Amino acid sequence: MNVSSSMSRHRKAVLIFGFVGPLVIALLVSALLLGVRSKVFAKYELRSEAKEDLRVATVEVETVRKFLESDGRLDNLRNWEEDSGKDFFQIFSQSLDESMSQLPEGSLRRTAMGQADGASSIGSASGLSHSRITLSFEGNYQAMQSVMARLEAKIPTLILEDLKIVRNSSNNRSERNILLFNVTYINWEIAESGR
Amino acid sequence: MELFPIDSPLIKLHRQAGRLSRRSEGMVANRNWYKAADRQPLQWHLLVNGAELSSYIYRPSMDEWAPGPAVPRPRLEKAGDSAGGEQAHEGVGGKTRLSPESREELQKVIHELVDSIGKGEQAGLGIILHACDSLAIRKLAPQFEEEPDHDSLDQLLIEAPEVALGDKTLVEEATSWRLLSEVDSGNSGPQAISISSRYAPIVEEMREFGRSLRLPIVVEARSAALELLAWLTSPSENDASLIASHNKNGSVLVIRYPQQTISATLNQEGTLDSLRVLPKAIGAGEEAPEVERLLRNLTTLGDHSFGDVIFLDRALSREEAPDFSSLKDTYPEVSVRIFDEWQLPGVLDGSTGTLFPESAFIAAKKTEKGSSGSPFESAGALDFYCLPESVAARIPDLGTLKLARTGLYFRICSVFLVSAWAFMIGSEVLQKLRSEEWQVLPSSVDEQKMELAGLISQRNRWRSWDDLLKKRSEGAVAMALPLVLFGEGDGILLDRLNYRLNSDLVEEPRVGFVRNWDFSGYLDPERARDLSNLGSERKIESAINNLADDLQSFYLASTEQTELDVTFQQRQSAMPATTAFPIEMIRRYRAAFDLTIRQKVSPKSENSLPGASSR
Repeated sequence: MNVSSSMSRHRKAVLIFGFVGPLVIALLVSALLLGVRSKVFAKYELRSEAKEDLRVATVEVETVRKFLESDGRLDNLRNWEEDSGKDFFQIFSQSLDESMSQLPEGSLRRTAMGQADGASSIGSASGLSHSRITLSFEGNYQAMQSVMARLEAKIPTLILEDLKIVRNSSNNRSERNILLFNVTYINWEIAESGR
Repeated sequence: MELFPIDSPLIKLHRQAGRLSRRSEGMVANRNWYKAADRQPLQWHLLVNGAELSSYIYRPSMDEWAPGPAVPRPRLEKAGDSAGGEQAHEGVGGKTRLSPESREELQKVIHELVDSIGKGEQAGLGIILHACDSLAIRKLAPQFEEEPDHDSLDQLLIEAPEVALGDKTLVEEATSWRLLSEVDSGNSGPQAISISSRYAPIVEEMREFGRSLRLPIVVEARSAALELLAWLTSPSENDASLIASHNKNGSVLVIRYPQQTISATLNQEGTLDSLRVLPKAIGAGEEAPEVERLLRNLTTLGDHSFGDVIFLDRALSREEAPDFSSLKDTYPEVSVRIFDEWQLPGVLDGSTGTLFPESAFIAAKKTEKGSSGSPFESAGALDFYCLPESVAARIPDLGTLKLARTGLYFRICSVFLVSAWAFMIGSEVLQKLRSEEWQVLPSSVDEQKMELAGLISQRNRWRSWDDLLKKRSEGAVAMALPLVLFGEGDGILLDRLNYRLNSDLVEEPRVGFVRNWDFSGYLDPERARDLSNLGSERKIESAINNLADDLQSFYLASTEQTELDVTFQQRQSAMPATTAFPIEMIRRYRAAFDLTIRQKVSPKSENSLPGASSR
C-alpha cells in the first residue's frame, strides 16, 4: 500500500462520512420533510374544499329542511307514501263508508262499485300507473256532493274522470226526484312511480 | 493513542480523523506535528557513541546551541519482564522496552523540555538520536540490485530487511535498515545501510509520550557518520578550508569513531564515490598501517589513486592524534591532513571545544543557505527508526484533518439548517393541523351530503307527489258549477249532467287535459230569457272564476294556458208527458236547453298533469 492510496483512504473516509453521508441524510430528511409538508398541504387543501363543501351543504340542508318542514310537507309526504303502500280498494271502501255514514238517513245509497271497464283517456295519455274505480249511487244532489268532497279530501290520489247524473226515469212521482249518479275515479298508483 | 490500520473500515477512519482534528488534539492548529525533527522549534540532540551519551539543545530561532539535560543511562527490559535488565542491550531475540524507572526518568526530562516551550500552537520538540557506533553497509539481494523503484525498496528494507538483503538470519530488531541510493559503489547499484535497533524502544517511548501529551514530539534516529559526510560533501564555500584542495585524483575521507571507522572516497568533483565501514576504530599508534591498508584497499578497488587523505577524528583528543609519518613516506604524493572536532571549520563560532553532534554542521549550513545542496543530504537525514509506511499511513495528513474539521462544521451547519427547516415546516404543518379546516373530516362532508341528498330526494318526492296530487278534477267542484250557473231558484229543471275529464295534448313531460261539462234540461220562459246569454264564454268564465274563488279551487280559474269553449242551445220543446211531474209543471217548462262547456288546460299550464317521463 503506497502513501497516496492510504492518504486517499483517510480522505475518502472523511469525504464519505463527513460530507457525502451527512449531505445525503440531509437531503433525505429534507425530502421527507418536503413530502410530509406537501402531503399535509394537499390534505389541507382538500379539507379546505371540504369545509366549503360542508358549509354549502349545510346551508342547502337547512334550506331544504325548512322547505320540507314548512306547511307540513314532510308529514304530507310521509302520509302519502304510507298510504300508497296500502290496499287502495280497502281504503276507498272504508273512506266511502265513513263519508256516507255521516249523511242523513236515506239521502244517498250506493248501488254499485267495481273496477271500471275500458281504458282511461287521461290515464293512458299520462302514462302514469293508475287504477280506476266506478260507483253508482242514487240519492239527492247535495248528499252526493258531500260524499265526494269528503272522499276526495280523504284520498288525495283520486281524480274524478267521469260523472253522470240523470233523473230517475221512473214515472213514479216520488222516485222521479231521485238522481242516479255514476262516478268514475282514477287513482294514481304512485306507490312505485312516485319513489 | 491507538491509530487504526489504514485498511480499517472507513467509518473507523472517519471517527479517528474526527478525533484527531479536535482542537484538544491540536493536530490541526499545530503544524509541527507534520514537520521533521530538525524543523521543530526546540531540538534535543543525543549523540550516542558507544556507551557515551551526549545531550544538546538547539533553538533554531536563535541559532543557539547549549548543553542539553543529562540523560541517565537507559535500562531496557524484555517485554513482560518486569524485573528489568542491567543495562541497555540489543534487542536480539525479543521485544525490548524501557524499564519503568528509565521511562519515568526520560519522561521527566522531556517534561522539563516541554515545559520550557509551553503548549501553544507553535510548540514542538524534535529529538534526534545521532548514532556513531553501529553503521553497517550491505549489498542488496541480487534480485533487488537492479530494482529501479528505490522508494519501494527502501520500504522493503524497513519492513522486511531479510527479504531485501536475502539473508533469513537477520533478526528484525537487531538492525534498522534504509536504502543508500546516493552512493554507487562500483557497479553494484544501491546499497543497504543500517544502524543498531537497540535505541528503538527509547525512541518509541519518546514518541508515545509525545502522543500522550498531545504535543508534537518528533523523534528521529540518524547515522552521525552519514550526517558528517553529507556536510563534508556539500559544495558549500564554507567547506573550502576542509576539502578545498580537491585533488585531481580525488580524496579519501576517514572518519574515526571510538567503535568504528568510516572511509569514503571523493571523486575529482568532491562528491562521494564510495563508502566503507571498518568494524573497529583505528587506535593510536596503529593509525598509519591501518590507514595505509585502507588506502591500499581503496585504491585497488577504486582503480585510482588519491592525492588527498583527510582524517577526521571524532574520538580522540589532540594528544592522541595518530602519526601518519610512515604513510607520508610510503605515499609521498599523498597529502595527509588530520582534523579533530576542535579543528572543524568555524561553523559554530565560539563553540569549539564541545563535541557537537554532526547535525550541528548541517543545521548551521541550512540556516545560512536553506539547504546544504549536497547530493548526500538526504542520506544524512535518513531516519533509521522511521515508522513503516503501513504504520505512518495510519496518521491522516494535515489536509485530511482540516477536511475533517470542515466536515464537522459542515455537519453542524447541516443539522442547524435542516433543524431550522424542520422547525419551519413543523410550524407550518402544526398551523394547518390546528386550523378549522383540518377539523373538517371528509366523512362529515359525505354525511352532510348524504343528508342533503336524502332531503333533496324527499323534496323531489314531495314535489312529485304534490304535482301529481294537485287538484285538477273534483266531483264536489264539478257538481258546484251548475249551481253557480243556474242558481237554486225556480224555473229550471236539470235533466242530465255529465262531467268528464279527457286528455288532450301531450307535450312531454306534461299532459294537457280538457274538463267537459254537458248539461241538458228545461226552462220556463222567464228563466229562458234570463239565461239567454248563458252561451257567453265571458259569463261562463266569470262564473268559473268566481266558483274557484269561493271554493278555494284555484286550479279551476282561467289563465293564459286555459281555453274555454261554450255551446248553449235553447229550443222550444215541451217536456215529455210523464206522471212523474204534475201537468202544470210540464206546461211551464216549455224550453229545452243544452249547455256544453269545454275548459282546455294546456300542457304548459302549471296545472297540467305530469307525464310518466317527468317522474
